Amino acid sequence: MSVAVKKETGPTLIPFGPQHPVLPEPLHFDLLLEDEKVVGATPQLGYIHRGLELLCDKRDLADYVHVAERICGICSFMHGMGYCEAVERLFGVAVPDRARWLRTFWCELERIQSHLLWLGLAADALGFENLFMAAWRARELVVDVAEETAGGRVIFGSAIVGGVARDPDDETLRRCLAAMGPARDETLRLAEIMLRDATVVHRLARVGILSKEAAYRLGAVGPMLRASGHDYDVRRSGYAAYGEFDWNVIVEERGDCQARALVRLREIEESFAMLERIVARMPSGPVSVPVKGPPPPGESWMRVEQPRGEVLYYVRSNGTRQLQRFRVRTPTFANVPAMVEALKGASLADLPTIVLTIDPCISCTER
Amino acid sequence: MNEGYKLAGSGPMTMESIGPGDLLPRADALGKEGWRIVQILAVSLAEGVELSYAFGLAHELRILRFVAAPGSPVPSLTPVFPAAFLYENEIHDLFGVAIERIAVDWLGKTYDVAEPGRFDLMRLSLPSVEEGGR
Amino acid sequence: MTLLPMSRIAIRNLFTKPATRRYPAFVREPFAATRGRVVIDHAACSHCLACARRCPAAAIVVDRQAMSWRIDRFACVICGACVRVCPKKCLAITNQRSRPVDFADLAGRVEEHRGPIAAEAPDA
Repeated sequence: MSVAVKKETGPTLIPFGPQHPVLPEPLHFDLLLEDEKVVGATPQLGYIHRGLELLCDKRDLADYVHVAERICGICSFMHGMGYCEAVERLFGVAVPDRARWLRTFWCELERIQSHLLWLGLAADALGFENLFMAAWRARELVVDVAEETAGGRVIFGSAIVGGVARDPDDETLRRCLAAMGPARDETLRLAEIMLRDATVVHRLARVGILSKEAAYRLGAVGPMLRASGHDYDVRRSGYAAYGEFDWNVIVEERGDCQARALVRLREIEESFAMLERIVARMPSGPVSVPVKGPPPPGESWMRVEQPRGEVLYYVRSNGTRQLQRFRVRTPTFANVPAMVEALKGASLADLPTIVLTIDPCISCTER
Repeated sequence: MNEGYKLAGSGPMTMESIGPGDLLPRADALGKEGWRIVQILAVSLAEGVELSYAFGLAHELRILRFVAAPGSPVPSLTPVFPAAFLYENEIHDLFGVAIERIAVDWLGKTYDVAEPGRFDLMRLSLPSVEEGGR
Repeated sequence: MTLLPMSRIAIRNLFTKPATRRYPAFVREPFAATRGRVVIDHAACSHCLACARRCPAAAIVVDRQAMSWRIDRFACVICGACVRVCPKKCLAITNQRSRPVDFADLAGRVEEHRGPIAAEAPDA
């Protein structure tokens, strides 16, 4: 006599995160799996919401920059700078030339250190720990330059309303640039490995494909958008000194993890080249102007290109030195729907890789 | 826009006041022209929560704005722009705006904060520094 | 394309000195521009409370009556707002970082400066 066993079939629901070895910050997914394939993913945020925007009317607008730059550690300088640019546009104040060029210098420095950090984390997500350690060792030279010119390794602290707080002289800038030479060479070697090693290629190529129109429709920004074939970079709008020297936007077509990796790695090399041009063209002069008195009532919408993509800073004033509202729309906030789309159809083992190639910065997303 | 109210930005911008019912048709028209949602912003005002929907195309921003009176329902943008669910969940939870039929709705648990309630900048107050507060 | 590029790096790592320093046995000299900690020339301080009001981290507590200036080193983020706003220019950022504090003595994280004791009557 045979016993008929009824088998349960259907998708399985498993949790991913908030604690996971590959996630630099807490992020949760409810994953719907058919065997090993992801058929649906529901993200869940909210593990590190600090309510930083609430502080904007408790601090003088000149002091709030120090809160804004602590929204995130990796994108710290650009948060501070974006806030300052938004406030300066509201006041109608023009920042001195040297301050604009120094801001551009520190922006590109931050882009390099952020992408090198990403390189290490992405390699770690693949299990390639040697590359992770080598990338972060190269990154040390870059954060040392940040400390030497701006005062802090991670939180640069040099953006203030009206200009910049530090004025490294041209000799220091040239010396620091030369000191980063080994980091640049090492990055080229590591990029070679990341893009050519057979195992890494197998894990990255044709994985997590985001089509061109899905990337646009779902609001992807930054390298995620550019890896899917869109030529869009907010730096072209010409804030700081970006309109005054030549630089290239890196675009790739395939939209898979390898294309996103390629965009970021090429951006590191492009940023090193940009730093050379910036230091060669650095003008002299004062580095800040005083911004006194209350701002006019009004609002300011400022967009900046962070390492992870386009950020939008919204500043609203009711005519006093305490801002009425401050809102940051960060790139990972915009990339979350695109990330969910890229996860569909992926195998469970590829999930950490895809999440890392999006370069999530959840502290930015949740402020 | 009142006289003496400044609108500053990093590129060309237009701002327009609309009614809540116009939101979906306007958004649909903009979507067909290639605009996409850049930000949905909420500001607490005395008369309600002011919602600004910013659409972007290349470096240009087009902003549609209306004030949601307390309790009045607001249509969700997700039928036209599915990526809007994240903004709408946050505004629904932190500002108490009744946005209806969000495609992915976390039902109040976007941020799971200790004291759920309205994100009302006007109401919160902290003791001043002289009183020994932070 | 080189053969086994990562293995070469890994083998070279075996024979070069470590990339990390053995802190606290070896403490690296900070750069001249490093934001180490906030220091005060207390004799010049007028206890106007400007720094306490403007500190984004609320790390400074000033008592005008007792003529004391106190900073919580763990709350201070060395942003420099107090330095910029001080009318007497008695605050500065030095490149030496604050000392670590023993967990058993967390009160040691607060550094206090006191002026002449207010109860003392000035000499006639």
